[in-house]
Amino acid sequence: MSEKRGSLLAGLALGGAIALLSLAGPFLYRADPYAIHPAYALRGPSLAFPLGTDELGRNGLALLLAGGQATLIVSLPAALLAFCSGLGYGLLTGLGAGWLDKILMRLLDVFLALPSLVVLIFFAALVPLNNVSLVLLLGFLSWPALARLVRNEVVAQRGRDFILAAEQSGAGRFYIARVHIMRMIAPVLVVNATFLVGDTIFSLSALSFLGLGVQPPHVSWGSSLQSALDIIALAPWWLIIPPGLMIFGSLLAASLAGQGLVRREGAR
Amino acid sequence: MVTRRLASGAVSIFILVTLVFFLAHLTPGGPAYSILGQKSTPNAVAALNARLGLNASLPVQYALWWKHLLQGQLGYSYLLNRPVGALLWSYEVNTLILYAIAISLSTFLAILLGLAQGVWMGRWPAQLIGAFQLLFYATPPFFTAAMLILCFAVWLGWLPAGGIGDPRLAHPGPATYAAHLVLPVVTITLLTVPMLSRYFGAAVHEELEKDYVRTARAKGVGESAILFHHVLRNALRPLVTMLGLSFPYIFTGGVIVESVFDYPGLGWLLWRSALEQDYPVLVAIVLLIGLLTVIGNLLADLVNGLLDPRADYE
Amino acid sequence: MALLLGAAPAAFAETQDCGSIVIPPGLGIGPGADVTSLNPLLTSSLYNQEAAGLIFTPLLWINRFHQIDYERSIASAVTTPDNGKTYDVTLRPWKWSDGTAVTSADVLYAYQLIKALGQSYAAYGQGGIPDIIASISAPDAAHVHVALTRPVNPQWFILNGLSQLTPLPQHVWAHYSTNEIWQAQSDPAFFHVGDGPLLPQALNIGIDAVFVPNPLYGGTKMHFSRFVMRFESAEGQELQAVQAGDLDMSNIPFDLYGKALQLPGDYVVTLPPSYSWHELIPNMANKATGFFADVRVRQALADAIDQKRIIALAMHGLGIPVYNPVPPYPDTFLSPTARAGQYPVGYDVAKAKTLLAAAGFLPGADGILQKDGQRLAFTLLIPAGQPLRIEIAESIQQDLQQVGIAMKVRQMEFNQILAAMVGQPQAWEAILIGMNLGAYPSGEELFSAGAALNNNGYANPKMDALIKQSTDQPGLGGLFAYQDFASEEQPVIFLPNERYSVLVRKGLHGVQDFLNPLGAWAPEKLYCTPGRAN
Repeated sequence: MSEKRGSLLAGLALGGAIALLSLAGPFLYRADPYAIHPAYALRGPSLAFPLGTDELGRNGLALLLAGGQATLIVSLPAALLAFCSGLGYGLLTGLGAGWLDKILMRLLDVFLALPSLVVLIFFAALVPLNNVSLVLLLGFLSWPALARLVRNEVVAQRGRDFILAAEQSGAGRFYIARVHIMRMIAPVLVVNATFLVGDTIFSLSALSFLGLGVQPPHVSWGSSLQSALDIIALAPWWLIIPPGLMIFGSLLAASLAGQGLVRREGAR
Repeated sequence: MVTRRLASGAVSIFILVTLVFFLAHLTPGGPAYSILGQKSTPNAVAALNARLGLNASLPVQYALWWKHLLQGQLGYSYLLNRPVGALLWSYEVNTLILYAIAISLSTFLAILLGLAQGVWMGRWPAQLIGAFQLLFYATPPFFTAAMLILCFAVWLGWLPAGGIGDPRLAHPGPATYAAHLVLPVVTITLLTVPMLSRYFGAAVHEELEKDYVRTARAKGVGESAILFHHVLRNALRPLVTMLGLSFPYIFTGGVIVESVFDYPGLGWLLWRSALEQDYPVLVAIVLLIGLLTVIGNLLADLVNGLLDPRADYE
Repeated sequence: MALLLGAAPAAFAETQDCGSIVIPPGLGIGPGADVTSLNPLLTSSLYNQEAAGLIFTPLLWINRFHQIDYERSIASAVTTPDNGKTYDVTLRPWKWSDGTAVTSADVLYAYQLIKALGQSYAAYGQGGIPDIIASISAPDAAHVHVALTRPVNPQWFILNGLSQLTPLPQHVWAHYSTNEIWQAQSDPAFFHVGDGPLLPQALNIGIDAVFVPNPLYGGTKMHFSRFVMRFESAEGQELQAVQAGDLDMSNIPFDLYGKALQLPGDYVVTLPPSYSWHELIPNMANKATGFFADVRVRQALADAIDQKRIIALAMHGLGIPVYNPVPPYPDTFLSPTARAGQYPVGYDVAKAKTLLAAAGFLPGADGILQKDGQRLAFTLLIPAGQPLRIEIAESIQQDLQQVGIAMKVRQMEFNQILAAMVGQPQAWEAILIGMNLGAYPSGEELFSAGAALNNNGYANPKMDALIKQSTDQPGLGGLFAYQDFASEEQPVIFLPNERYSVLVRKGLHGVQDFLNPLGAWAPEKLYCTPGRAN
């Protein structure tokens, strides 16, 4: 009904707007985010600087757009990577032999218990922190939850009659997986993929906030928040609210879309 | 049943601790550099590593660690020069206070909100609560914290921006601690209530649609009796499961909230010991996390079993 | 009994007891960190040294002009009859906090402990300690005789070497093994006997370190009853804390300097710069950045960097340019040319370009210089989470871009930077770090070939000879020649040093005397007047 569709539409619209702003924005608003204007340092919003300036006089709006680009360029592929890995692992576990299931799930439990930030610190020291390594890192951290979900769903579905019938008539494992199982779990997948996008954006922002994400001079929403927090005694609200709202908006978009999808699938 | 769960939990903990131990030691660097700082020279590092026992081979160090653990010793922090156990305890107390208060408050609010949402599902109060849940679920904790500090510490000056206790007093009383706890507690509450109340609200609503409720109503049982005797008990189950999952957090806290508020808790210690490669502390905390996760799950299942004797916890 | 040393502060109009004084470690020097050890021999961290310095009075008190203040040292005189090979130290009458006298046995004990610690001793090698001492003996309770293995520059040895022999309570510590001393280094109970102004009462890990006045301290009495070093992890938080009354003083982050000046009641004290500098260490041992071995490239780097802009932007004007390894303030050890402000390097973009062209670098297709197929590009590692360093690095990045050098910046945890710097020469290309010095700024630990802190593969026989001259020959001639040559050679690229400002709560005074750029605090200089809310 309208409420459910409304949620999905709202989520997609919001997400689309943020993506557009971040990916296309830097090309449309041409101010250089890294140019320093010391004479205009730490000014609030004005005509010349719609979102004010930071402590080195850099354009707040340009920083926001550049930060969005940096954040999304890493988060979206990372979400995709996490999605594929989680799906693969879950299918393997769910459809595999019992002993394989036990071992893999045990490993998964361990991964889920590992404090993700701690693991991140280890790897951040081992690899240079560029976009590619960040995508791999984030993808690696986000897949366990999806894997468990997929595995549970697969296990739930594989006991169903028509699957058993297909198996008895000689259908191979891959065929069953591809054709039948995927169709059954598709709704769950779509919903969780949406949440996954929100999660990776959040994780990257948290990482950058702690200094282990996007590196200077590149900015991201998370690192902008950290810089603003350092000088919070000066109450630089124009440096805190925009990046915070962008992260918030992304997570909100993901939640709305996911929620709308849940309702839609639920109604079926 | 319980013993089987415990055994499988023990295996998980073992794998976890082993993984972290090896990951930590194999990462380049080492606590010697953290201790020596700019005076790090190859000779000084080698001497310090020898003193700290870090020049033995990794499997040997690993075996030694287990040996000491079984003797009841958690080791000695390289960087803070204290026995790990005592260290963990001093940080732990701070985290416990903060998170116990925050999670209790969150649970209380979650139950209230969830009940309201479930009972009035489809009407404006529930929609309002739903909107609130959505909004705050999407707000990252460092943003919430930053806004709270901006409003209450900087603009209004009512509350301190961070730290703990009042150093000026030789024996700071609970009042000064309380002032420092307010903003972190609010941040954590705003972070956990949306999710908890949502689960609970959905569960309440689901319960209210069930047959036995209709039956009870038909028999003339009062609405509040239905709610509090039947629905509550059943709907609490997913909530209890969620709380079981958050059990470790009560003890280990969260890195982000503790670092933003400069709060010396266990999460903060975990973060610092990972960054500075203070292996004894790091591995001990991870062990603690593993233990608490297992205990939390177990407790959740036990409580759920009590709430509904018909259910079996698998 | 206790002697009253040092004149009591002149006529204080109605001073009052300060009660508790609460300050963060690292005041006036850098962002705070925790105090984790109270043992002066075991810790190289500045913050720990601050704490240890409150408990133990140094053998030689070095003031901000790098002169020995014999009024505040345990030594009342140091003579070297043969101008550099042997030294006679006379001790003044002084007491430990349990009434026992401080004697030469305590100085000898300190030396023995240093030797026992070997490479674990925090300042191993500084001033030649311990290997340069051939023998040390105590003719009587108030005299120490030190004989070195060879004659050296007395000023160098006294300021950098002899000063390390802080008398330690031999009658208490000798009962413990070296290992036990190591393990007890953060236990306040172990340090219940000291001879400094304060004694530790509690060390609450992660929270604060609490000190109380030493009742038997032989110097000026304290004007407070409790002294707390409170650990705050962010400078921004410190400022908030002063405003809220939680702290009595705090560092002012550069970005907040303007705001701090406007705060009512509290006032700002700007300190002289500490005896240190920032440096960009170019790795000559890494094959990928072999171009750093060419002195013209290093000089070009130094000429391309606009130090004044770094000071204006990152330090908000509160800093001084540094072009050689002897910081310009105080000017005690500056060579005549440095004193006149003449250095072989300085901001000159045209000169930088000329140097690089002379070294054989030509612009490539992307505008970046290259030679024999190798681009003049490198990655700079900076310690994570420090806004000042980030801003310095970004300023340098832009400056180098102007002359065709591509520099990337990467943040990394400090101890991992150190690990790379010390142990993995092929793993890093350039590092931005701060360097601080002992009281006599010689370079034997920094730029001699194979020196302990020489991590970038720099080796030059002329530099070795000049350094040797500065440490072995009396007088300042060697030091002057060394610093001029180092300025020309730029073994590391010297960068500006900042001046910290401190925000002080209304009613608290004596801050300039309390703080010392060389790190030792003088808490007896703090006093309070009415108007200080407690």
